[in-house]
Amino acid sequence: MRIFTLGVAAAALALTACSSPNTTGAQSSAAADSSSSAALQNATVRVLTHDSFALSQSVIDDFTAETGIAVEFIPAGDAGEMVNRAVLSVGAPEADVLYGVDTTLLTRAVEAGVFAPYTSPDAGALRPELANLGVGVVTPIDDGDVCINVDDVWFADNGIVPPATLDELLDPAYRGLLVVENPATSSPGLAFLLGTIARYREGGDGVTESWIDYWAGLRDNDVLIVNGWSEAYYTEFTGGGGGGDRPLVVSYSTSPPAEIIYAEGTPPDRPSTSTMLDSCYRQVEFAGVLAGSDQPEAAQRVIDWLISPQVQADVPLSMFVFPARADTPLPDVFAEFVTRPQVPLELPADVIAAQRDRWIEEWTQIVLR
Amino acid sequence: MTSTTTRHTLWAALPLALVAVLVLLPVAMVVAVGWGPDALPVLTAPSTWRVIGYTTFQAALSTIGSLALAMPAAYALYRLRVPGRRMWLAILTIPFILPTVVVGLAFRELLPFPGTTAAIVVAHIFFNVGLSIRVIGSLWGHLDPRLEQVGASLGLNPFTTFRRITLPLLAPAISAAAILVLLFTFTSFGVVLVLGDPALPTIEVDIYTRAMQRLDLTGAAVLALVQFVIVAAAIVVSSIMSDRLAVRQRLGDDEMTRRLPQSPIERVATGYVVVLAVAVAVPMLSLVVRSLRVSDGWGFAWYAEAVSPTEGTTRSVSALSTLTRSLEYAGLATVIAVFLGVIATAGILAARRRGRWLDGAVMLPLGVSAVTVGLGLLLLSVRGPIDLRGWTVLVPLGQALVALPIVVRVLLPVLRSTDPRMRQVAATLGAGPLRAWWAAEGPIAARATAVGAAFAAAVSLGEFGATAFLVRLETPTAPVQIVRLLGRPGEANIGVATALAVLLLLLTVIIVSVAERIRPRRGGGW
Amino acid sequence: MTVLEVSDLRIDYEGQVLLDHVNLTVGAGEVVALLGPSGSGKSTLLRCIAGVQRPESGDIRWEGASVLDIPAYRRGFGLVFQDPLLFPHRDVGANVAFGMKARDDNRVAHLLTLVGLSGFQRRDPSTLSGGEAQRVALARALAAEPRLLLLDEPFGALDTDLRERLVREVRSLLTSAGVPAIHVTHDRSEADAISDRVVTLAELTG
Repeated sequence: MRIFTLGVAAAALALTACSSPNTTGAQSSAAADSSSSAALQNATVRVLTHDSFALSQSVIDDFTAETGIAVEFIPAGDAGEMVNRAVLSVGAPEADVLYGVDTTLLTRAVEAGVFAPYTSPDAGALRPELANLGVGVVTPIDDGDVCINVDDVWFADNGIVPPATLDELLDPAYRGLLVVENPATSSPGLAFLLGTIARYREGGDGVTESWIDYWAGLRDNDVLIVNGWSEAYYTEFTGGGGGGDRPLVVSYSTSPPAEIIYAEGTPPDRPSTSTMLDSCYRQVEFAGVLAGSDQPEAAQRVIDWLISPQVQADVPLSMFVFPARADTPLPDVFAEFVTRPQVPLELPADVIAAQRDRWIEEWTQIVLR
Repeated sequence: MTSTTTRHTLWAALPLALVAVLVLLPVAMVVAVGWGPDALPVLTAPSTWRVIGYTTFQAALSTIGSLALAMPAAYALYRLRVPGRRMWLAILTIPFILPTVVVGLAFRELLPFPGTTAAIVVAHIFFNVGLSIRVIGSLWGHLDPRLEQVGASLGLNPFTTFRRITLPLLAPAISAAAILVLLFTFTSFGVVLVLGDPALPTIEVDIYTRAMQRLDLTGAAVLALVQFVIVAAAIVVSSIMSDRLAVRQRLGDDEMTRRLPQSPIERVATGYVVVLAVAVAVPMLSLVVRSLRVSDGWGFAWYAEAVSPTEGTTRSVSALSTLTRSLEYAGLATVIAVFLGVIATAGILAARRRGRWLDGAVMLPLGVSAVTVGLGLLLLSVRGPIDLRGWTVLVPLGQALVALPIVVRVLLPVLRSTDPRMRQVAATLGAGPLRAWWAAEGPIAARATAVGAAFAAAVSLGEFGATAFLVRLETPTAPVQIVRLLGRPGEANIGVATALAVLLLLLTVIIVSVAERIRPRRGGGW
Repeated sequence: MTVLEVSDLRIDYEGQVLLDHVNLTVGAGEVVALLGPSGSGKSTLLRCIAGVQRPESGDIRWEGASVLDIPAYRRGFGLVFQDPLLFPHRDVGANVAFGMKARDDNRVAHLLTLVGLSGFQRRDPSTLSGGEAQRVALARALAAEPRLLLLDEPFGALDTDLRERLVREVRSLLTSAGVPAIHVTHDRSEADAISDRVVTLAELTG
């Protein structure tokens, strides 16, 4: 096995040596220092991640060329499944680094002892509102907003003013227009549920007594529940191209620019959809060194690399999320078509950890009856 | 005499204890984790009861469907002389031994309504209709046809004759088939996971998502216990019922009772067999067709992709390597299962009446389901005293425990029915006891063992329930890889999954055909 | 008066001609014994008359009308086999009542008394001796009030003493019931004892 790993690393090195040398100027100091270390030269760091992970190959190759560390990304299902695997293999980890644990799952993972504490020397460069979320154990890499997306063209064609707040969704004028993912089976579905709980948990702003009443109201206003994001966006949403008949969908604030990037033929000047800022729930994704990794030092270099300017600059268009590093320039489509909510809905990780299962159970009781 | 018996008992006790411990330990672990005050919130949650209710509902529908579709075919194949009878029977029985995820995938691609209860039921019927035909037909073929002629001579029309004579006489076989199908569909995992509605889990799927996706090992263990209790209750009820339904009757020779189809109804039944066999063959063939359909027409692109995947940013496991690993694991699992199976069978036979508890213990994995075996072995590492994580033999061990009941079911009836007189004849000819045993039973025992090994290999190759809990990320088996590929978006992933499924299907069919060829033709059993 | 008339019947078995040019008549209330060696086709002939098998050609008429296209259950011909073939899932009483339009317990009791088994209603068929079971089969056939009784070596499996006694009993039963019957046997003395007329298969096909 050891010999095999060495062989793979050697092959990877040979490949990168033949390819054109990197031209990126900025190099993280930590990565540059470590390239002299002989021990790291042959290391292959395995990164456990979720199936939605993506990063440009050139960025990965550059890292290997600079440091001698090969990186292998191992997809392990959705975020929940990935964290579950990490928890079940505490002490005998299946990888060296875990990337992609979000706020909804962070506490469970940390409490189970999944991570070996590590603070990157570069952590000071992170956006201030994210900087203290990892508390010396994990490092925030990116974040994003789960929001209700609005098909503006549909509303214009039908002469209806689109809803602007969560409260307005209970208005009979918007009856039968919203499609939502099941929080038991979908990550954006769970985020949206947590958002409504954050808003209405304490009785909200007088429209409803509690989040339970809010959802009962949504149910009575004919909300449609589907199992996953693809089904919601591409099949049921009017703006997803699948011939759906619901002009409101729970999706991401980055869905409008994605519409332009992935457009077939000539991209439109501007997206036909927009986000409803009042509904946005913020999800932060973290990375950490797995406890029990036999190459913690190389794993730490990978964490440093993940918040390096190169990776951070690549993240928006690879995964449609926002970089955690403060000074990262955003691509034009992001700057132009994505608005971040001033005050996103959020819940503390420990509250989520304690209540999540009960909330999902209660939600199922109300909505799927 | 007594001392010899004692010595034999001692000699036999050690390996038997090994078998018992290996089989019982995972189950004990599930009980240890699931039994306690933590179980209460799970048991009182309405969602738990919805899951139990839905599991029962789909199993009941699947069972009714399987039996209803099996009856006319059982009639035609066992009461009439149908041309090509053996071939039709073989086609109808193939699905039963196919890997569950392969079948799930085939129907996912074939049916216009995947992700529904209907899809699950259709796949379950596909799996179990052949089994039902065999169980019901094996009694029907032996029913004396003259009983029905007596009915006609007493003035009963064919429908009344069927209702008042044939059906009551068939009741034991029908209820036996029903309980088997009910158990298989109640504890079905791979099919439901691939084909079902994620918001409507069955008990098995819920155990899996709790343990592997929602960090709820306790809840998973509680549900596994609940399932075990329900299955045990079903078995008890069915054994009481079968005692009630049992009819003391003289059975005829099935070859003799078969006759050429004459009446229109008999011709329709014969035609129905062909239709049903075609319907069963369609999903398998359509999977092959699907694996050859590529974006710009037809070709082997998915197979090529399965052999050497194109590089992406995430590490792509070559599908072929998972197949090789599945074969290695299956080989190891077969060795373990046959080793344990031979010991267990010898123990059951040697202990005679007292062997019944061992027989029951060995059958346990069948009753508690593969998922429970997997969960038990996982709990053993995570919550229990023995950390087996990362041990290469863990997956094959789980597969072997799942295959063990089948090995014992193949060996036991064959060895039990060996004629003791043959042994006596061999002994009087001057052979020593061991040589006498070998002369009398050696060839047949060897063949039965080979058949058991082949079935164990087929089961292990397609095993998904236990494997899903035990396999490591970097070393997936072929069925696990198929499910992983289906979880990822994109045409290429589905394409490679179908190619892999076709290869798995072919391997399984080859192994089982070999088993059918070498199978000794006596003693009954599976 | 002739009630049953079999004319020019041909019966094949697996593509071979088994019987050909069979002619047979049975009069009202007449008991005919059909004598022939084993395997000569007597039983098959009986099955064709009963309607559970179809002849290749020829005709079978009841009171002048062909019954060939009438299914067995509408012909009203009772059939008793060499084996009693009692329904194992029913007790003796239910077996006897099986062919009745509506269950009549008094008639069941009467018929059981007639065959010498009074009080046997609740017995399980598997607990009966061979002779007892065959008598229940006879009572069951009579209970359906057949127009014609077809007896296919009903005593063939019984020992000699029992057979002789049963032959006498059945003969008097048939006489008192006034039911015409065809009794198939390979035993000359049994044929003589039970019937008004003995015919051999050879005579029929001649």
